[in-house]
Amino acid sequence: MLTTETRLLIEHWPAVEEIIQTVDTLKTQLSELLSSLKDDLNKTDWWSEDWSFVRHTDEQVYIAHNTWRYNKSDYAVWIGIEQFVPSVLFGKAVFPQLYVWSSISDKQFIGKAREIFRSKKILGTVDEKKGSYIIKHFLPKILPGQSSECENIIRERIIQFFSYYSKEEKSISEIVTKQIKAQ
Amino acid sequence: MKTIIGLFEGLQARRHAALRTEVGELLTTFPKLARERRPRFISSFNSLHLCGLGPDEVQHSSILAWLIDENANHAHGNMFFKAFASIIGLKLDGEAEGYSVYAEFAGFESITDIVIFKAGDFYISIENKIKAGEGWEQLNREYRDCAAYAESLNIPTDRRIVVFLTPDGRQPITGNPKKWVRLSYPQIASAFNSVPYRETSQKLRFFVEDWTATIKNYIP
Repeated sequence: MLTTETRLLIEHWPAVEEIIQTVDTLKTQLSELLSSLKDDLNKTDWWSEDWSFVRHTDEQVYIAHNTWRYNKSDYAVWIGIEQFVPSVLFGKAVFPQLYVWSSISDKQFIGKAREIFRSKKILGTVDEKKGSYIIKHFLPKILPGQSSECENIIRERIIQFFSYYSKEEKSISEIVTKQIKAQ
Repeated sequence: MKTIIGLFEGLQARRHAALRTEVGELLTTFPKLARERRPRFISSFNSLHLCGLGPDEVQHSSILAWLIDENANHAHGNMFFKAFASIIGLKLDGEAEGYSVYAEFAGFESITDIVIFKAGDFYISIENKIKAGEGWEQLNREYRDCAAYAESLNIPTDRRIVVFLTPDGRQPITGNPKKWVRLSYPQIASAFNSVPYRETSQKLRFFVEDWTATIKNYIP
């Protein structure tokens, strides 16, 4: 019943437990890395008090502009990163983690938001599927030889994406304002 | 005159009657023939066509990546990878084990259809094009990604291979043709159909036969 591989695990079980624990530690550190992005944003020339940094879950953070606020507690458009987990960052799982997304599930609004970017050469791609994603983009995979540069690569890419889409703040504000008035 | 017309009409009626009989016989015989021939159609049955597998590059890339992956559940280890390596001119040292295969590999500048690598040994980047055109600077971007990742994995420069896979092995447009290995689907079909299948792997053999038959369909 037991195979060579599983018997090997049993023989080295203390090491196996250590690896499992270290994976959990890695997840925690990745989550901390996400939270620490706020410090990087503070260093950019466009970040101001008008922007909010939201830690949505352990694996997801997003930024939003105050003019994108609606229903008092929510933002109409999020610029964020999700599924920030080892299987996607270092493994074979495929997922475009960087996104521009709308919490307003109105087809017309999503269409207008996508239209802002459609004719431009942009970072990532305009999402054409049903749903509320406007833009999707991939983070580069981190392979075994890149563990030492990993943090820099990730940090740089996320900040680049956030900065790029923050420039569209006014165009997004315009459609959000119209949407709020129409409601 | 009336006699001639009468004779002509009689002749015409007989001819029509004969024709009707002939057509009737044909219509009766044809379905019988079709029924007799039907069992022979099994040879051209393709399970992947039935499932609606079209020219979608992502689907074909994921099949190719699955076959090449030594750890995939096809139980043929690295046999397909060895066959693939031989057609792209990659010489393998020893048993060619311990390599990794990624489909839809997100790089710094591009998404590469398939990436296969073994740290310190080789790095293969495959761009699979069936019907879609090349994106802006696509192959040059993939080439730069290949170089960047291969560098960090300590791959010797002569073991970094970029492959442009198309139905007819055409030349790339957005990349330097001298740097890219051109590969056609018939080359893959021929290499994979000659893999020695295990006796218990009928299912896999049929699957690969159907898949290679499918990809051959896209040759212009």
